[in-house]
Amino acid sequence: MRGVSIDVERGELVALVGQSGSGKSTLLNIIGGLDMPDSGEVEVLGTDTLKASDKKRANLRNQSIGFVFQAFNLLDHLTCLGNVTIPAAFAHGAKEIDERGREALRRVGLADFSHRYPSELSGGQKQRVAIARALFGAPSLLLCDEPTGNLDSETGKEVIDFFRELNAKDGVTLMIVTHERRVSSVAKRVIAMRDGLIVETTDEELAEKAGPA
Amino acid sequence: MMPAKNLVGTVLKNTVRSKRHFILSAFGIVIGIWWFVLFLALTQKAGTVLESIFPLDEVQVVAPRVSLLGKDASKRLDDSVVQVISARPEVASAVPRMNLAFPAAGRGDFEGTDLKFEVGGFADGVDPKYVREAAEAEAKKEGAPDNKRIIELFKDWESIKDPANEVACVPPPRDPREDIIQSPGKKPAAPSPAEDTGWGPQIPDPAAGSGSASGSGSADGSGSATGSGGSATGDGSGANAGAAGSGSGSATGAGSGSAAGAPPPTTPAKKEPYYNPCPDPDRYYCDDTERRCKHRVPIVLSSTVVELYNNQFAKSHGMPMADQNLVNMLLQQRGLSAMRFSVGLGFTTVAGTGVSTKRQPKRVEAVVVGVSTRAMPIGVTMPIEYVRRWNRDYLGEDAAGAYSSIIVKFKDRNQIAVFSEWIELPEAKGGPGLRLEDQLGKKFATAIFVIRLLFLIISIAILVIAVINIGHNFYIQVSERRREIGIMRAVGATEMDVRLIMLGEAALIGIVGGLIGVGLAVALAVGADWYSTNHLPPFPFKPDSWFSFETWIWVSGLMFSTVFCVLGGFLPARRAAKMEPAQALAQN
Repeated sequence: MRGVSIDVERGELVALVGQSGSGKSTLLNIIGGLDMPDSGEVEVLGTDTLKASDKKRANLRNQSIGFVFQAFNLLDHLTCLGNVTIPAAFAHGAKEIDERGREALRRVGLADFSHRYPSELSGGQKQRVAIARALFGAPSLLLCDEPTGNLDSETGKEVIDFFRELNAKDGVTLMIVTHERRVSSVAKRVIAMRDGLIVETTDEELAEKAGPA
Repeated sequence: MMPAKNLVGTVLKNTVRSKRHFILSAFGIVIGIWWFVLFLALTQKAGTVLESIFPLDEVQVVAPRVSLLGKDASKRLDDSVVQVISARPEVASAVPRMNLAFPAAGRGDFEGTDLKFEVGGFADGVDPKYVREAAEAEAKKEGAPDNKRIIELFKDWESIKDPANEVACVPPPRDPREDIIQSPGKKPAAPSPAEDTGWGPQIPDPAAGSGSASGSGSADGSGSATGSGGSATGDGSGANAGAAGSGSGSATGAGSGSAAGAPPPTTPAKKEPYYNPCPDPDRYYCDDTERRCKHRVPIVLSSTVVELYNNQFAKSHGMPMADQNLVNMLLQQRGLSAMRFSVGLGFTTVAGTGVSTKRQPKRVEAVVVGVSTRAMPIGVTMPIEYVRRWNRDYLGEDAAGAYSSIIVKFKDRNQIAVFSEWIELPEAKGGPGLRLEDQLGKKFATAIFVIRLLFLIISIAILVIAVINIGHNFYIQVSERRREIGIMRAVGATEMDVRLIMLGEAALIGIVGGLIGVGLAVALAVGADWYSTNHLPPFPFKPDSWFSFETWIWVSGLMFSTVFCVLGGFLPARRAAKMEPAQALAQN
């Protein structure tokens, strides 16, 4: 990635589009502090994540940033509730952990699934558990890497609707990496990338011209 | 860092989840710690037993043996040598020992058996304070005998004036044909021995002996005249054969010479203490020549003597065996009268030895007061003044000033080498020209040390292999758990958290593996001890337990186990912590 410079305001819903290997996932990981650029500046929620300590970055992910992945990344040996409450293990002074975990599951419509294991769930349900985990710490920024990539169109739509609602009602900032037009269509802002460069930062229609990623 | 409680919880959950990994990793550690602890406990015990036989923090200085035309021409160890040694800066104390330098024989009764034994050559004297100090120190240890009698009685009683007890007395008459160490005898009112006929030999012949021994011999010195064979002087022979040291003979038998020929079989042997006119008969006896009550000579034995008696002599001579500690047991049961015996100074049981002494043989009585580490290994040890006096009386002033050895104790064990070099410096070069006695204990200690080292090396080798195995297993784990580690990082785990989780899992393997290892070691030890107790014949110094699981041994076992496991997990944990979470979470 070279010469990438973007600003995302609080409460925005941004879609990142582009071909495979264009660097959109890397950009997302750098924003989340899971990856490090060789040089540059990154400021997330008022924190300079490159200069901050590992501890500070980890705390930011724990308290303010949620991740949603294409492959769900649930732990098969834990129940849904167990997966949702993993962040609590790394938080100091976490209280009412199970209650908050159930509340997160209820929000994604899986209130009755607390004691089920991921292997018993469908793909859509798994992704909803993953979203519940991302929401556990009540984050202000949600970073989603191809969240609908492994879902059929029906469940994919449900997830996108949920994101839109989250953005509208709770004011959560969302950055979604996707190559599905349907997803980018709900975004208020679309950033297109190619070969590690931002080729266009424009509205929905322009993004459509970038073609399928 | 994540909260400690969460760390422990995560470690436990992960360990329970991957049982196979846990067992595979712990296996080597269990085996390693098992042997480590077992052999440490075994060699520790061996060392303890060894130190009870040979004191290792002191040496004995002796003169090199030099003989000239068959005569001993060795350098004389006297007070001047003791002074020179004491003046050395590394020496804490120098205590001389003196051998009884002329023949002497002992005779005593033990549990109904008349025992005669040679004392000359097997007796020495040492500063009584030296023995008492050791007894006091030992008594403070847990489970050790209280050594009360050594502390109270191991003194030179000749130098202690006690007019209340040292009264004039009339010793009981003795059989002139008996040897000097015959039994103390009976009341003087008895018929004169000169009138008697049919005295038995020194060691009674089977007919008379068995009859009389059964009738009169008993440990507390009582007896009766009823079992005196066919002899008309039954009381006399009963006293002879029965209990030489402790005496026998009874008032009832004294005047019954004529009746003794046909003893009434229904009359049970009446137990009575043998005749002793002294006010405190338990500690004092009536001296034959001085005709005065004197304190018995206090004697200490080495544990070697007791063990040899218990495991060899008692069996070969059909004698009763004492369970644990012969002397203490008897002293407890019967008091001082149990372990007393006569010593014939200038008298020998060894035929054909020609030693001319300045004095007529004389009988004294002695009493064993306890077991001491400071006693000579094979023989009897008494306060040195007794030996010095007797050597002077029987051989002259020269013998009264010559020591057999000097026990040297050091301020610091490590200075033995310095001292050893000096002591062997020949007189021509201004040195003392002496030598240290062969230190058997030191040789054994070295052997045990080498064995211990060998087994430690073996168990360390097992542990090192176990550590490599753990490291390998954890590397595989880190690869298998890439995604899990990535997820943890994504939801807020720091690098340190990931590292601590991995190290925690390794430490848990160490703790549990160590506990199992220690448990197996104790179990095997209990099994081995059980086998030893039930299936191995007794032998000298056979221990009740072959192992000494001192606290430091199993604690160091657990610590080693944990430290080694954490070492094994160190690199994999580092790798896990340094892993890029973005890569770990990348699809496929």
